[in-house]
Amino acid sequence: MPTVAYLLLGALLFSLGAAGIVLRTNALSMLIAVELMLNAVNLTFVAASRHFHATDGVAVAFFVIAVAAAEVAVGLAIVIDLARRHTVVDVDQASELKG
Amino acid sequence: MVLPPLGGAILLALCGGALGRRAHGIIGTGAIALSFAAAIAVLSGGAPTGRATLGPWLPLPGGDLTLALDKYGAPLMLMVAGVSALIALYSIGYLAHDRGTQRYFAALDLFVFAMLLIVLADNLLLLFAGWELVGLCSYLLIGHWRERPAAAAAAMKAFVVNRVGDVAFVVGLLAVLVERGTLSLEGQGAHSALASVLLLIGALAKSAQLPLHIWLPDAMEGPTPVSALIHAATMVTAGVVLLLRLGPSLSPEALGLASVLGAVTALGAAAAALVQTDLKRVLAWSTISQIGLMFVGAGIGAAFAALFHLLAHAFFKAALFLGAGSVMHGTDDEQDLRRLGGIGRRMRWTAAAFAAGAVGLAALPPGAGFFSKEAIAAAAADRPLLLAAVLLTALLSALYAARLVAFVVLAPAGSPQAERAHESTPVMLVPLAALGLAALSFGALVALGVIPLGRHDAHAPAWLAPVSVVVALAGAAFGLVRFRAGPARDVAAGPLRSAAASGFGVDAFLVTGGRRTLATLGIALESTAERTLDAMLDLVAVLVTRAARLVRRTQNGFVRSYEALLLAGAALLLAYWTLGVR
Repeated sequence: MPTVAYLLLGALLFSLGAAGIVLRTNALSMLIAVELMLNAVNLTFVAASRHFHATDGVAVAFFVIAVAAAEVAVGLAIVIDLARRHTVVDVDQASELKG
Repeated sequence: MVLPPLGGAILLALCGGALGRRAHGIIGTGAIALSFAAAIAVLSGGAPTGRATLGPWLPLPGGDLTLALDKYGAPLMLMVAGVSALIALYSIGYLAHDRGTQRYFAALDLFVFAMLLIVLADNLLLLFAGWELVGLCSYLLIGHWRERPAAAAAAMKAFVVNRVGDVAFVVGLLAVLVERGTLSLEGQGAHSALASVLLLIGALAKSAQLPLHIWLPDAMEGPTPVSALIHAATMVTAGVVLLLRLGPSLSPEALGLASVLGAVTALGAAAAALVQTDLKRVLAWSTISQIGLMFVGAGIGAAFAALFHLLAHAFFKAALFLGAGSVMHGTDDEQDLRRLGGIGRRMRWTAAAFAAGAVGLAALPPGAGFFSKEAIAAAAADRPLLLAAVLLTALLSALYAARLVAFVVLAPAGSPQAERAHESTPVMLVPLAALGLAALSFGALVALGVIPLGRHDAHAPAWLAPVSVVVALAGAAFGLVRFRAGPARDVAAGPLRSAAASGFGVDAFLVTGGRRTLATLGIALESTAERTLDAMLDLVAVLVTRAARLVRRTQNGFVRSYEALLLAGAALLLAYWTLGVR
C-alpha cells in the first residue's frame, strides 16, 4: 500500500472526529470523536515513520497514546460531574462559564 | 578654606549619632575655626586676590567650580568664618541641654560652607548653589525646634518667601547667560535692566528687604544663636554681597531701585522696631532696617560704605543677639521686653556686651555703627531725600537701641524670672565678650586704618559728621531718659503704634493676597484639569469598555463553538502554510 493511502485515511478519520465534536452535543460522543482524531494523527505518524524508515513517528505515536489515556481519564471525570449536575450529558446546557 | 565646614557637616551628618553632645559642638565649632585659620593663613601670605579652579562642573561658559578672591572676598570671608566660629562656640553652651545638637551643628557647618561659597564663588552658578544651600540651611535651623508649630510655620515661611526671590534669581541668571554668554563674575560688562532687576529681586528676598522682608521677623522662632548667624554674619547679608560683587555692572535702574527700596525699608523697619515688645523681634526689625541702609549704600555705588556697614553690623548685631540669647538663657526663655529688666545687676558680663552691641547699633561714637553709618550718609550727601531717610533711620535706631537697653538692662525687673536671672557659662560669655569688643572697636580700627578695608571715596560736607553725632546722641539720650523707668512709659499707644507693630500691614497684605491669588489660580487649574484630563481618562475607559464588549462575544460558554473556532483557526494556519508561504 502506498503511503498516500494511509495519509488519506488519516485525514478522513480526523475530519470525521472534528465534525463529530462540533456537531454532537453528547459529551460522551464528543470524547469518542476526540479519540478518533487522536488515532487519525497516530495513523499519520506511523505511516510517515514507515515511509521514511525512521522510528521517530512511532515514538510520538506511543506518546500520543499515553496522553490520550490521561485525557480520557480527565474527560470521563468531567462527564460524570456533568451528569451529576445536569442529569443529562448535553454540553450545550453546561454554559455557565460564559463571559 | 571653604571645605572644613563642609567636611564637618558631612562628618556630623554621617556619624554624629555615635557621638555625644559635646563632640557635636567641638566638631561643629572646630570645622569653622579651621576655616577661619586657613583664611588668615592665606591672607597673611599676601595675595589679596586670586582664582582657583577646582574642576569642571556644568558644560556652560563660566560653569566651572572656580573660586575667586576679589576685593570684597577677603574681609567678608574673615568676618563670616570668624563670627560664625564665635556663634558656634556660643551654641555649645546655649544648646547644652538640647537633644538635636547633631542636626544643629551639621546644619550650622553647612550654612557656613554655603555662605563662604557665596562670598568666594567666581561665577553666578556656583554663587547660586551657595545661595540655595543657605536657604535650605536657614529652613533647617529656623525649624530646629520642629515640635513647635510656630517654628515649623516660620521655617516654611522663610523658605517660601525665599523661593520667590530664588525664582527671580534663576531667571536673571539665565538672562545673564543669554545676554552675555557667560556666567563668570570676572570682567563682566553691563547687564541689561531686566537681568539686573531680576537679580535684585533675588537679593531683596534673601536680605529681607521690602516687600519680601516678611519672613525675617517670624524667623525668630529659631534658637537665638541661629538668629545671630542668620541676621549677623550670613544669609541676610547675602543679598548685599551679591549687589557688591555684581557692583556697577548692574543697570542704573536696578541700582536706583535698590537704594530707594533700601531707604523705605530702613525707615519703615526702624519704626516697627521701635514698638515691638518681643526682645528678638526688635532685633529682627532692626536687622531689616540696617540692611536697608546697606542697600542704600550699594545702590548709590558706595561699595566701601556698604561693605563697612555690613561688617560693622555683623559684629554689633551678633553681640546683641548673643546677648539677648544669654539674657533669655538666664531668665527661663523670657523674651517679652515688659517682663525683663534689671539685667545690669544680675548678669554683668552679658549686660556689658549687650550694651556694647547697642552702642554699635545706635551709632554712638566709638561704636562700630557710628563710622559705617556716617560713611553711608556721606555717600548719600548729594541726594537729599536719601540722606534724610538715612539720618532719620539713624535717629530711630538710636531710639530703639536705647529703649532696648533701658528695658532689658536698666529698668527694674518686670517678672519673677527676671529677678532670678543668673549669669551664663563661660563658653557663652567668651564669644559674647569678643563680639562686644569688636562692636566697640571695629569702626575705629577701620577708620584709623589699622584694618586695611578701603577708603571713603565720597567727600562729605563738613556739617555731616557733627549732625550725625548729634542725631545719634540725641536719640540715645532721649531714649534712655524716656524708657529708663520701664515699660510703663513705653511708646504711647495709638493707631500709628499698632500699625508699626504689625510692620504696617505688609505681611498680612502679602500673605492674604498671596493666599487669595493662589486659591483663585488653584480653582481655575482644577476646573481645567477636570475638563481636559478627566475627559481624556474617560475616553480611555470608554474605548476599553467597547473593545471588551466585542471580545466578550466569543466567550459564550458553548464548548462546541470554542471547538469550531479552534478548528477554523487551525484550518486558517494550514491554509497559510500551504498557500501563503511560498
